[in-house]
Amino acid sequence: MIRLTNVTKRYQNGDTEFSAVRNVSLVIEQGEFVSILGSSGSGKSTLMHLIGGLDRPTEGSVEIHNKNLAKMSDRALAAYRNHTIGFVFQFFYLLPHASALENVMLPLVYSHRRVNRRARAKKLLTTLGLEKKLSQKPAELSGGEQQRVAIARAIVNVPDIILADEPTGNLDSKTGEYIIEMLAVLHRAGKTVVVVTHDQHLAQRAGHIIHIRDGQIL
Amino acid sequence: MNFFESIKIAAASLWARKTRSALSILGIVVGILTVASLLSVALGVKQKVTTSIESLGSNLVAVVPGKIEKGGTPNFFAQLGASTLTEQDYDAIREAAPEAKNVAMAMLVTGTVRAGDTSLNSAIIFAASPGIEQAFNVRREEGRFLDTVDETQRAHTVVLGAIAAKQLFPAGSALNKTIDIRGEGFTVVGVLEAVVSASGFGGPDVNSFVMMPLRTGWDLTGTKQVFRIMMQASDAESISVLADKVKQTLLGTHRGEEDFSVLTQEDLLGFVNNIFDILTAMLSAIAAISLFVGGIGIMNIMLVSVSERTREIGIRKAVGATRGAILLQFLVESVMLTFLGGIIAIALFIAGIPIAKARVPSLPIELNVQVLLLALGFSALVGIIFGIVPAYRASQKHPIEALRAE
Repeated sequence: MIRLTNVTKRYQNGDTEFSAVRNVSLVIEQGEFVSILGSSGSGKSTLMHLIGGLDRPTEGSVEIHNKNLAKMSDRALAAYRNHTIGFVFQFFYLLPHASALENVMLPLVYSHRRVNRRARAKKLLTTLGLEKKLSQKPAELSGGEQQRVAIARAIVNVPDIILADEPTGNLDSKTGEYIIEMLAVLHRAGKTVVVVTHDQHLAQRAGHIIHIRDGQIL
Repeated sequence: MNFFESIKIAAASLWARKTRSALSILGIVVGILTVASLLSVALGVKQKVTTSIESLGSNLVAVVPGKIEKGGTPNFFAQLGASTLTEQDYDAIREAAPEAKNVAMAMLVTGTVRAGDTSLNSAIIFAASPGIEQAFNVRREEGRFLDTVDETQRAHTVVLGAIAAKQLFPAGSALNKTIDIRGEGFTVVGVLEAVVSASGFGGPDVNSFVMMPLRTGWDLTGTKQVFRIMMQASDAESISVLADKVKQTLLGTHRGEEDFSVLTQEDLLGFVNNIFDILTAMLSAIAAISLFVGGIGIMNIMLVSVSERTREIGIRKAVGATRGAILLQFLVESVMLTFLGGIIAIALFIAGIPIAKARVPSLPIELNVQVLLLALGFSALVGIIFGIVPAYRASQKHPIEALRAE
């Protein structure tokens, strides 16, 4: 379960300070498919970063499975990102010099779990229809293929929660639809899926829509 | 992530930027090559000088004028000027230490040696009493040594060092030929075998010797200078006993004033070691500067690399890399670069030794495993020292800011 209680995130930019997220409280149950819908600058990505342990709240608590991320050490937070979270980003964020297979294996490099990395990554990419692209570099793949590699990377370490930040934002509508369907499949497989988007159509696919504006939940 | 994993990632990363990696290790290659070459030459020279001192003569004890502090570097100026040694010292030593073998005294004579039209300015004209050849452990190539008859008769006879003989008589044997020293004629009665030179370290360059009887030298110069008294102890164990006895004897003849030094081979080797410690320190400093420059190059390239790969750092952190893992990754990359530079430098060094020896045969450069290991160790150390700042910077990057970097 994801529980945010009175979470505020303020950023300092020179002399000026602004709050990206203001006093947000919300609960996302395990296995839910949730979309956080808001326009650009609404604070939705910051919210995702806080849930994903990429950042810490200025105030309030972010609890995942009853553990407060704000009180975790950097090392524990890294382990949390590795084991519990799978990120899917709008711009894919794949390592440019690594092959599709190596990109998918990346979370396993930082994991203490003893698994056959290559076999697991290969199986996932095959499942996602990329069996002929294993050794291709990201630049040699289409946008849809890159996002499929990113999804494979997100789930390779069997996380509980998938966090997707505008996952279709950089794709054509047909490919975007395919990616949305993949997230839905992951949800049906029991994963908690949180999609951050400004796309009303994508948000509708989730069972639970959270509207956010100016850092506050409506 | 374990260390082996870091090596794999670092190798892949360096391979992905082959040209840049190759260029950035050039500085290290030059630095390590400098370290290996300078230290090897220093060790080679030291070895050569040590060998030459050891070849001076076994169980040699030498008395020289002036006080030389042992354990420090030799003060050669202490030996300049009028000698404080006399014939009485020689007699006193013979009387007090009958066990000393081949006791001989010697002086230097200034002047030019001529043989017909050939003149020799580099010759060391050495006037010595019989026994000096044995003390110096030199052998005859031809003819005979100077003997007591030459000495008592104040004969105009000379024994030539190998180089002196060859320079004066390049066409053939010097034996029985006549040479001219300070306007007087001398007959060559013997030529010495060529030996490894020990000049500059208490030992004269025997090869350049033009040796005459001591008393002939006194007559020729009109002075009774003694600038060396040489002798041999009966065995290695009694060297220090003899040296001490000689010192006490001479303190008596010099009325308690220690204006002389009794040196053993061990003392000479000590001087050599001290001089070479200084030389090695100086060469190390030069090599360190060279390595420092190479290290700065590595640091520069690693800082550029960290800056360019900020997003990669963000991606790695997003999927679970700890700060330690990022630090290790970049540090291993830096060390791998410099270590590779070290290996290339050593390969070049090993390949270059025969070439250097072919071009400069007298270059005392030797392959020394310790130097090679030291050079490799230094290359890794440079990688750590100059890689730590870029690696630390990489590890401290905030994941979100890193992900957003262009």
